[in-house]
Amino acid sequence: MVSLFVGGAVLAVSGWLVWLSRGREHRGHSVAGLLALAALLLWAWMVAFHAPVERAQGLVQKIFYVHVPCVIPAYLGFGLTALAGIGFLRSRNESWDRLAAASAEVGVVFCSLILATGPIWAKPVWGHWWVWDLRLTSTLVLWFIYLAYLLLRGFAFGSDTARTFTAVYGIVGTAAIPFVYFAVDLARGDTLHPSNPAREGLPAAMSETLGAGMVAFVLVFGFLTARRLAAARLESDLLEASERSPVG
Amino acid sequence: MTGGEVYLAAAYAIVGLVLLGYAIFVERRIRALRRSRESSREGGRAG
Repeated sequence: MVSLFVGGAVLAVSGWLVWLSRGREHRGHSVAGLLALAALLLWAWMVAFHAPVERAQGLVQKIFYVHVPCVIPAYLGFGLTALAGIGFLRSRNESWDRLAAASAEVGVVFCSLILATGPIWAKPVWGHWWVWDLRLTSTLVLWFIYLAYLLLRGFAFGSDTARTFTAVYGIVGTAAIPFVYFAVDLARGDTLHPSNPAREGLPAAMSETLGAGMVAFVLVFGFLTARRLAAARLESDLLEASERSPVG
Repeated sequence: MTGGEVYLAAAYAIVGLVLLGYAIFVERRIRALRRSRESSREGGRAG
């Protein structure tokens, strides 16, 4: 049964990756799409057949293999937003600004997935969809920070001042990431959330499946960011063309 | 289907659908922008 669920979800994601990989104008994007597809298929097989069913939680524990791998692309997206912000402030090159916007958007998608899959796992295990503990609350705050970043960009589009302000905001926002990561330690036991998987000494099959999920999701992140960047480049080209063309 | 299976199915389905939905959104945006670029080029040539 579990293989059906995982297989179905991954087939859906793989389906679009194959579809998207057709006729890309950038060969690199096709390669990234196919790599992500291969990694997703391997991960799905591992979730269904390689990872054992945990004794205490049963099948529902397998949400772990999709919940935790979403964390890396979310942090990666926000970290890249800060790096691109620094790049923009140093060089005033618009490509950095576009990269910051693309990675923040994809980061928010993955952060939304953390916040969606967490409660689905929490309900059968903790008996609650949500508890206001440090890890959950700080993750929600992180999501709001970058959602506000995207809204800010949407409202203040185009001007150099807006780009400077959003670059600084994107850099400052990453200060929340270490706080979220170490929230379980900072809570000093006053939390239901388990500590970071790296410290838990998972059995080999579990950590291998988790690792495969992380690699697959990072590749999906790379592919989506590249595509979002292609869209941002087209938007910028069109804006330039409309500024060049005579009015009336 | 047991309770655990329902939660598991929901989690994986949400991840699949959100990623699928976002990818379709981005691709549609790229196509729309490409069409606008083509039509503005054609407009420029005609003008």
